[in-house]
Amino acid sequence: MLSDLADKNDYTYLDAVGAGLDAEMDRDPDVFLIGEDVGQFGGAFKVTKGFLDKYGPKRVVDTPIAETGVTGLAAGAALVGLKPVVEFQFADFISCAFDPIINVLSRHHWRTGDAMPVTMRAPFGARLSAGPTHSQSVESYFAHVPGIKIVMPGLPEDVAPLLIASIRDKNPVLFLENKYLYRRLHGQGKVDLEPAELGKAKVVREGTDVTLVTYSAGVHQGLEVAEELAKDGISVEVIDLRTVVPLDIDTVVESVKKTSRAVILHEAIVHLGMGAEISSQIQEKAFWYLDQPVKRVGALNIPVPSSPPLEQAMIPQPEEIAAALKEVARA
Amino acid sequence: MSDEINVVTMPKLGETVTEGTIGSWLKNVGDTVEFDDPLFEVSTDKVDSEIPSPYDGVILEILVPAGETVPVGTEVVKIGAPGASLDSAPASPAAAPAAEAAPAAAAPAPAAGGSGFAGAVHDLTMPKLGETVAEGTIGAWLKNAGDSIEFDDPLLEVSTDKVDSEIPSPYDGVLLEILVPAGETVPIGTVIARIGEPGAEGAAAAAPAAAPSAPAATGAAPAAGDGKPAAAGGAGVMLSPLVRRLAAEHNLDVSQISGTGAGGRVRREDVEQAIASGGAKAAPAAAAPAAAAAAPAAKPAAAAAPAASGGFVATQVPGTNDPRDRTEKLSRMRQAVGNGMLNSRALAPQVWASIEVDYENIENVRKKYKNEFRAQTGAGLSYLVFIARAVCEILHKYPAVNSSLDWEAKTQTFHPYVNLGIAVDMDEQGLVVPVINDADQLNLRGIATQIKAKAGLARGKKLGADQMRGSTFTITNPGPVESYASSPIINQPNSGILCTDGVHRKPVAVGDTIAIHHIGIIGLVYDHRSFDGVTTGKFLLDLRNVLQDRDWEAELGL
Repeated sequence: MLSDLADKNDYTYLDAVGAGLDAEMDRDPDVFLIGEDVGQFGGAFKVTKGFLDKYGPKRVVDTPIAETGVTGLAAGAALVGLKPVVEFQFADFISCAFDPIINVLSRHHWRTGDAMPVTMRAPFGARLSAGPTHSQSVESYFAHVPGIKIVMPGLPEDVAPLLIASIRDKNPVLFLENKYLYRRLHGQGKVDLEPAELGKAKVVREGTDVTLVTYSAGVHQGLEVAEELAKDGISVEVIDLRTVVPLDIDTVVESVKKTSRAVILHEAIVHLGMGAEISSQIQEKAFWYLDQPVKRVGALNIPVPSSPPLEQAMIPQPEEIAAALKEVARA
Repeated sequence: MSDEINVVTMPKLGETVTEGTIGSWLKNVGDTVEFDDPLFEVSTDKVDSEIPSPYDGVILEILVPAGETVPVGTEVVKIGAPGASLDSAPASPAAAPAAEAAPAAAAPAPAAGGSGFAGAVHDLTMPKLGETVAEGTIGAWLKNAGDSIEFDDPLLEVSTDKVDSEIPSPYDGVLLEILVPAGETVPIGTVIARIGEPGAEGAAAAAPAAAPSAPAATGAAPAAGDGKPAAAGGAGVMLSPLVRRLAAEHNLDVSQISGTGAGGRVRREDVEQAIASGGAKAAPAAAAPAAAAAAPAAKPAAAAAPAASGGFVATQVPGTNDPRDRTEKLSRMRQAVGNGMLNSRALAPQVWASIEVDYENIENVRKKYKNEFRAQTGAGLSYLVFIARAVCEILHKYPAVNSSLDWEAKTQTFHPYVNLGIAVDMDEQGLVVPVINDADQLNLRGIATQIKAKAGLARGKKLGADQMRGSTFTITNPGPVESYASSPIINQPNSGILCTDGVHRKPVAVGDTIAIHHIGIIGLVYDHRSFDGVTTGKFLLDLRNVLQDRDWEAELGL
């Protein structure tokens, strides 16, 4: 990854993750990588290929399969002034590290006033037939815990700026990468390495009839569906939240006040997902602007099936998203 | 209490509903009813509803038969206490101490009248004086317990965080008991007093135990409501929050908007279309601002009014599309004049007042001296010259008339000098208002020459912008085209504009004889924020008297 990017004008989502890590390690000697297979193997998805050679074993640390210990070690390193970037091979495995994340990382600053600059990267999501323990969307577990920022880029060009901002943040950030997007999405030109501001949503398509609030892979589904619906005369405004914590509800509310209708889309399970919170805040802040109930589109309330057709049936599909948008915009 | 009698009134089933028709009675006289039992059906022009009983008890009398239409608030049925029988009559509420001996029930109501009847005791509740008002403070009781009161008599003063109001009595009768003393704050709907029928004595013991609060006392909540919110477009219609808000802001009757959504639902786009086309205006009752001292029933309308007018946006009404029409771009001057007019109308509440002036005295002076005056000054001795002179003098007596408002800064600036604006016609292409600075320091000759000079500059388009700025008061003079009485628009930032209309020969009474005099109307359009009608009246009267009585010959200085 490291050498590949230099002379290319096209990069993948995956390239952008690597470029962001590389740039920040290059810039700041306190930044180091830690996780299973991040060194020798170059990462489960090859994000960190070449990093061991470039930065050496003190800054690219392979660990045993022990997420609790890895995360605890990162917390300790952060306490002595380093800026660890933990990689979870699959976001599903993060539940092993639940205790240090919740009870150590998330509240350290609240307890002591001190910084806790740990970044946790985790590939998540379905569509790869990886089954119930390698396909989950985990943002809602952590969104309920104060003290953890949750960054979920959808567009390749946002990946590196948001990752760099996450590493520089003085407190824990969970950086969730939709692995389905890794090699399917391409950005043009050189990777932007200027940090973005966390907590700022982006209107990625303007529209007048209905607002689609989404993030991560939903951005691409949403943009494709919006393009289709435009042919039927339905104008969809698509908002990429980019970070679900902090939630940029102002951008959402401003859009809903304009369109008077909202649909929330995410790959995570609808039940108690981010859509519930966003929908609730919309009605609290823009009730008198609503022409339709806010609708949520997301996964069914079941574990992700291994069977490809069942998996597709579980997670939101373009037809379902289009139908929801059409209903809300037209009924 | 065994002699308790409750009265159910025609409920208000929507903001703009003023009457209702009894569709059918679901209970008969003598029937026992329980709280929430359907009592009768009501049809309004918006909605049909079953009205549940607000009381447990026995139907004593049906006052309005099925098929009849009566105003909201009309008493339609009397309900006695549970177990009451029909044929027995209590003497009056004052007879209560003996009630356990007397069979419980009510006397038949007087056949006519409908205001009060033997035994009726009304609960008066804290009225809802605004949409968002949750409680009210009793400022003062204007009647004492035992006082006789008539419908609409001021009964008490209520302060809320929005408004202070006098609450008139909704009943004829006697104030039996004051339950909440002055100074106390209670939630909306709290029973604050009891009112007995006319002639009843003020015995607290006579009051029935607290019944569900009397709807007629507030006029806001529908009596025995069915739980559905009263929508801007009428109860029973499913409207989205956005549609409700837009309809309220634009004073639209949603029932007149055809919906394009599922099942005919009115969508955002339908309302926007209605707003753009200026259609579907609600009945005036919904928007009419109620006077401050209006009866309680008018309160909901008063509360709704600001919202209804607050969001109003004027929209262009499409004109004809006739090939014979000729459409031209507006000239810069037309636009400037138009913008000035729009701005003034939007800024100031403008009121016109007028007075008739006998110019005979002035006419005699004019006739005698106008040639000599013109020869000496080059200016005509028009009526306007005399009026301008008199106005400059009188404005010193009425500083408010010669003032400028800054409403945002909440200030009023008084000018101890008169910079007099004179509206000048620009060959029917527009108006300009040259200003005569310190016009109050000029005598008749000075004013006459200044008017001529400024008008000449204006018509020659030689006026500088600074010569059209700084007026403190303005005169417009349609008199030469023989107008009768005109109502101009104030030249901002003035507080008034004087209009001198045509002078005509008219028969007038002089003493006990009829003479022919030169008579004309002078009008003042004034900014009612700056001062009030009395000031205007006095100002115009002084102006008339000076014009009529002044020794103008001496003032001419010829």
